Amino acid sequence: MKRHFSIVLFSFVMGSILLAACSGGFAATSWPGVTLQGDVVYVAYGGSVFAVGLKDGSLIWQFPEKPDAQKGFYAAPAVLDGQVIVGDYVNVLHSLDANTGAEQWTFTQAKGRWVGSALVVGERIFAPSSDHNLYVLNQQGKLIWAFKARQALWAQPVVKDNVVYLPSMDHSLYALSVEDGRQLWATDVGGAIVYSPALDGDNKVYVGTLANELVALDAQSGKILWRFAAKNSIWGSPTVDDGSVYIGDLSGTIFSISASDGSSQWQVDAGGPVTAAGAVTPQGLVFGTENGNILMLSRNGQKVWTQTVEGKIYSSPAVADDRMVFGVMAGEKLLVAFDFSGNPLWSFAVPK
Amino acid sequence: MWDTLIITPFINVLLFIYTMVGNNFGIAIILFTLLIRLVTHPLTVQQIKGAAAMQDLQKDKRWLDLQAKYKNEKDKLAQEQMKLYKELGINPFASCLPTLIQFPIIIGLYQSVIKTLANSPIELLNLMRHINVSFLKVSELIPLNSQFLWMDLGQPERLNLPFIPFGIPVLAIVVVVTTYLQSKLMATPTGNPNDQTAMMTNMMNIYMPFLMGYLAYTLASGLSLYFVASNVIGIGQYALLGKLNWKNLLPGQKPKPVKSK
Repeated sequence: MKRHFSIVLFSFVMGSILLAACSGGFAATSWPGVTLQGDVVYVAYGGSVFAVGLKDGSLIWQFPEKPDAQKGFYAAPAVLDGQVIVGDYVNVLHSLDANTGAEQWTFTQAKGRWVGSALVVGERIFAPSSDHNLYVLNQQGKLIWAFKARQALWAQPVVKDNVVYLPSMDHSLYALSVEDGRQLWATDVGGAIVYSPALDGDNKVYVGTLANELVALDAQSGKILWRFAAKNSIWGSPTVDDGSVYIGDLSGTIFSISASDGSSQWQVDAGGPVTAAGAVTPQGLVFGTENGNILMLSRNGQKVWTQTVEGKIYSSPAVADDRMVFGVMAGEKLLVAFDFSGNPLWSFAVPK
Repeated sequence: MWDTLIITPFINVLLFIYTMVGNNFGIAIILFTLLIRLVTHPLTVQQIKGAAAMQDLQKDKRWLDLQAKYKNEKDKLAQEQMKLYKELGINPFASCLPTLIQFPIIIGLYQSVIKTLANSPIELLNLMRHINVSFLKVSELIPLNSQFLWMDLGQPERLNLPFIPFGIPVLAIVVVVTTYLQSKLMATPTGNPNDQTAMMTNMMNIYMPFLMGYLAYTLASGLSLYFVASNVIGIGQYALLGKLNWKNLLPGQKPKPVKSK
């Protein structure tokens, strides 16, 4: 009798733990994706997409009306002509009315999560999916062409001069024709690319890789020009400004590298792992770290000021004329806004 | 502590197997499950022996006499039972302790598979922190090749056939069947099929396959593959030890109640 009761009890405990492990451990989670357009900040996080006023952090709308944790919105929304384009973790790309948050259309052909943000150029939407495909849609959500890489696409592509630069987890950076998706070149950079490449005015394209390298390529041919070895994996996009490339790595080091030859200019200890791209502001370069540090650095690597927020910063800030907004994970607040001197302006928490 | 002792070593072994079998994550999951089952095999044997000893004891005349004699004196009954355990050299925890030791290992195995199937940036970031870079190369490992047969192990599985308009959840069906088979084949006859615990056990035998099937239907197929591998290896283990009750599969077959005097 007792033995059978133990078996039943054990099975129930086992079942409960399995369920708990599944709902908690395997839940599709990632960090918030933040986009700024005009005077509205759009943030995708968990079961909702929020539109928040840049001026005061007030909620304008949220989609859906009641959060849907099953969906999982984490890719930064893209904004186009009154539409907000945002993908979820159940493979649906949504077009929302930018003013009201009402759903306009959905694209459901993808068979993988929308981890990377879509890019809007002109009237086209370039949407990278983790099903390995880059889907190019028109404003009504109709497919124009698709390009299939060998592995998942987690990063927003970049378009310049009618060329799409598409980073992939398959270690390759692809250059495609905007018109029809024809592959112009593909270069294996030696490691998975999690975030977007950066382009400069000097015909160079830069990518950070999980193989701990920053790689510079010729934008025309895809030829590797130089490699820079960081201390750990590079997650964020490189930031290019005035002949220098700035990146942070998981070791918590921020590097300044010469764009011309890949030589090291300076490095700074950020005090925590860096996964987010830096951003250029009138005061200097700003970086966020996993342990919630915000650092403003001068262009020669001096710390101008530091701030700390409660939570983790994994993505780059959205920078406006007089302020910047960070998405925060695992904190009380989802968004925090600072001026360029490091003074907090407002914060936004997920409505309860 | 949990991560250091269980998850990190498990993930590294799983990834090591993955590199050894030509970057095939499906085979790696199966071999890793087999490896863990082999390592914990002595515990399984001990558990089976302990359970068998307890089962034999419940048929023992002295045990049954005690039950009848101290039916209304629970404390006294417990004392007498302990005496009988000592006399017969039976450890009542012999079947329970190995299960308790195996339990965190099974949970660790399950969590390692989940973590290794990293399907979002934060999951990948967490996975990379578990990888021992001195013997595994992150640049070659990431991204993991999650294709196995017709499945993407990071996605729920459906088999699409040209003449059927919807995908068939083959793996979820196999999970239901193997879980059911495992629970039926490993079940030992209960003392009295009409008592409450026996009914609960029977209900669990129905409930668990569907629970596991639902998980397999909705979660990544890498986990479903682990469920199937675990079930099949478990059945194989019991078969090798000659402990499978094939009669339980026969329709209308009811375990014989133990006669009490």
